[in-house]
Parts: sequence; structure tokens; C-alpha cells
Amino acid sequence: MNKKRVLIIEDEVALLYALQSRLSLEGFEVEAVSTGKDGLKLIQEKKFDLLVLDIILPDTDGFQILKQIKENPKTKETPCVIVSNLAEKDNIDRGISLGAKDYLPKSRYHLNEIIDKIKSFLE
Amino acid sequence: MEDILQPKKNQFNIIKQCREEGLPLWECPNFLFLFTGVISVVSMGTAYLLASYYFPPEIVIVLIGLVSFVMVVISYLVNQGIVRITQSKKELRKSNEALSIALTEIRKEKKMRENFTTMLVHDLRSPLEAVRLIIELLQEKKVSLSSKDLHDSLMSINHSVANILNLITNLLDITKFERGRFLLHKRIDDIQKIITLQIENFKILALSKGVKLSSQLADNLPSLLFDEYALDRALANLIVNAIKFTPAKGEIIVQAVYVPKGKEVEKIAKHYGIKWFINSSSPSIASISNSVLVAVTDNGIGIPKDKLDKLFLTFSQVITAQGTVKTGIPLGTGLGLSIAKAIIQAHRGIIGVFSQENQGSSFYFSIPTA
Repeated sequence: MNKKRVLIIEDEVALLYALQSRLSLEGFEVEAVSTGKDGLKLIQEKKFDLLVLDIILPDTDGFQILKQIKENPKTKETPCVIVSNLAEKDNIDRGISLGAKDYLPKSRYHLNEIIDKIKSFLE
Repeated sequence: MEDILQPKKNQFNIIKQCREEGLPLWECPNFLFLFTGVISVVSMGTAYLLASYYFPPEIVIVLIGLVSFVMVVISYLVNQGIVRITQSKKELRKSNEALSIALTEIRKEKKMRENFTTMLVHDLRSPLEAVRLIIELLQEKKVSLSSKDLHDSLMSINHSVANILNLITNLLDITKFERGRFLLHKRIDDIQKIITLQIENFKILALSKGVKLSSQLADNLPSLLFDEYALDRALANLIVNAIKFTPAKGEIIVQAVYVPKGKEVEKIAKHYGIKWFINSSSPSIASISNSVLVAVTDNGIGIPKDKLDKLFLTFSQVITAQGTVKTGIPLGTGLGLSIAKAIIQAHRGIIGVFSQENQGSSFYFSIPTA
């Protein structure tokens, strides 16, 4: 059986590393980039089963990326989960209304819980 | 506020009313109208009585004359009072307007400071959260970590901690700047030392992101008069920003060259292969002379044209800019560049940037020889 493929767009090196190594251990194929531009390019080129997205990125914000992904017929079916430090309700609402499957404020979850949530969208 | 500035008037208490209007009793219109009434009644009564005892009309005429004179004096006083009330009302309205403008400004500033603090806390929390998650990863029993995994985890933690420390140092520096306590202790020294030290300091930060950091220093760099700590901070901020905006597999190079005379930058840049300075046609670049030029060049994401002139802001502009946006370029960037600018200007140098989107950026500064 083919491995499920996950793309992580996150600029915080440590978090990127934690997610990447943990998801690889769970048996997923993980690709990780730190800018919105690289993320958008990659998602056009390859098919992913899930996108894990940060909001504050060096070149753009996660909402813009989500919008572009959902507007593109080629990528709009890819489920997206936002994992961000922004925990305000209006940001969460915005993410969900733009089509994110879930919005996980980092401070409210342990690594295991984030991984479990991500896994639940890949099953 | 309305209540304090426009107190309710007591219609029946004339003395209190006069005090509220800020007028003496004899200029208070309400009192004077009352007084006029009393005078009129008394004078008419007196005139009637006098007229019934002393018939001669001269006396009545003199009396009427006297009463009229009193009335004229009273009218004059009434007029004075009304003029003063109108004036004080006008002044009141003016100061009222000024107050409400000031209040709006204060509210705006407060809101900006609040947003700034939110951004700041966010910038500090973000790497800390990442460190927490890595520690959780290391603590997990079911994960058996190879020595490479352990090394990579520690590198990531190191990366986050370095970013936190840099931001905290910037905040302390800004507090010193704002209180006028950022004092420069300039000494003649070699700038090579600073560059080599900072490259060493940030090598791991770059490496943990998969970015190569190196330096190229000309052999003929003269000694310069500078404050070691300040220049350390200026260069550190340029390097940290370069790392932040350069994705994995990118490269950052710190170059330092000596420019003996004006308009020679291009020739020297060509010689050392500093591409952004060739054909730059920038007058501030051409004006660099008898200085050491330091350039931190990356091949990262670059900066959009419309944002280039908004990079080197003052601290208060950073607060305003960061206070009005919700997400965007991380706060650390704005603070770092504003600190670098203040430091380089205090060394009579120039600071600037060349950049193109998707091509990379080159932040440079010059320090004149003593």
C-alpha cells in the first residue's frame, strides 16, 4: 500500500522538525517547506493527502495560501489543517470559513494530540 | 467627561451660578436683572412718594435722570457679563475639542502598544512552543532516537533559543535607546573580529535550517573606530534576518571590503563578485569613500519592491506598523533593522538594501575610517 503523503508549511524550524520526524515515524511520507511560495509550488507539482499549514510565514500568511489552494480546482480537494500560534477566535473562524478541516492553536495541544488529530484526517 | 466640563446649572441659586460661570456677582446677568427689577420698583415707589410731597417737577425729572443713569450702568455690567460668558463658553468648547482629540490619540497609541505587545508575546511564544514540542518528542518512550535524531533535535532547540535570545537582546537595546542610555564606547579595532565572531555565533542557527553561512573578507581592511557591542548587534540582526528569510539549501555570505575613494565601490564589487553593487547607480553607494563596506547577501525569498522603502523604520514607526497589522512579517525583523540603522548612523555610516523578489537580498552598511 502506498504511503499517505503530508506536506508541512511551517517556518519555525523546531516545530517543523518535531512534526516531520513524528509523522515519519507514524509511517507517512512527509515533505516540509518553510515559505508559502515553496509550499504552493510543491502542492501544484505533487498530490498530497493532507496539508499542515502555519499562519505566520516569512513571505505570506497561511490564510492567503489556503485561499489559493481552495480556489484552484486541482488542489481544492486536498484537506488542510492549520497549526498556528494565533489562537484568537476570529483567526480560527477565518481559517475554518476558508475551508480548513481543523484549526489547532499550538499552545492548547501536546505534540501527541496534534499528531493524533493529523492522523485522524489521514485515515 | 461631558459632566465635568458642562456642569448642570442651578437656576435658583444665583451666587452658585455666578461662581460656576467664573464671574463676580456684579457682572452676573441673572443677579443684575433681579437687581434692576428691585431698583426699578424702589425708584418708582420713591418717585411716587416724593412727587406726592414735593410737587416741583424738577425733582421728579432729576429722579428719573438718576434712575436712568443707574439703569445704564446696570445694562453695561450685564453686557460685560454676557460677553465674558460667551468667551468662556467658546474657550471651554475649544479645550473640550482639544481634549477629545488628545483622548482619541491616546486611545490609538494605547491600542497600537497593545497590538505591539501581542505581536511581541507571539514572537517570543512561537519558538518556545516549538521547543516544548521537541522536548515532548524527546520524552516519548516509544520513539527510540538515533544519535542523529538527537543531534537534529538539539539543533532545532538551539535554533529556537537563539531566536528568542536575539529578540530579547533587541528589546533591551531598544529600551536603552529610548531612555538615551545606549552609550557607545568606541575604540580602534578590527572589524574582521566582529564578522568572524558573528559567523561563528550564527552558524548553527543557519545550519539547523539547512542554510550555508560563510564570509569573505578583503586582506586590506583598515582598523576602524567603533563600539564592539553595538556593531555586534547591528551585524547579528542582519544575519538573523537573512537566515529567517532564506529557505533550506540557501546561502548567506558576509563580505567586507575597503573602499578608499568615492565612486570606487563598483570596481571593488566587481573584483570581489558582490553582484548587487555592480551597476547599482545608487548615489548613496557612489558616495561611500574611505570606508569599510560590509554586505550580508542571501539568495532567499527577497523583498517586494513596495516594501523596500518601509524596511528601515524608527522604533516608534515599527510599533505603529506592527500595531496596525495582524499577521505579516514577524516583529523581530522590524526591530532588528531599526536597531541596526540607529547603530550604523551613530557610527556616521550608511545602511541600505538591494533586493529582488525570489532572487534574494543584500543588506549593507559602511563604517568610515577614523
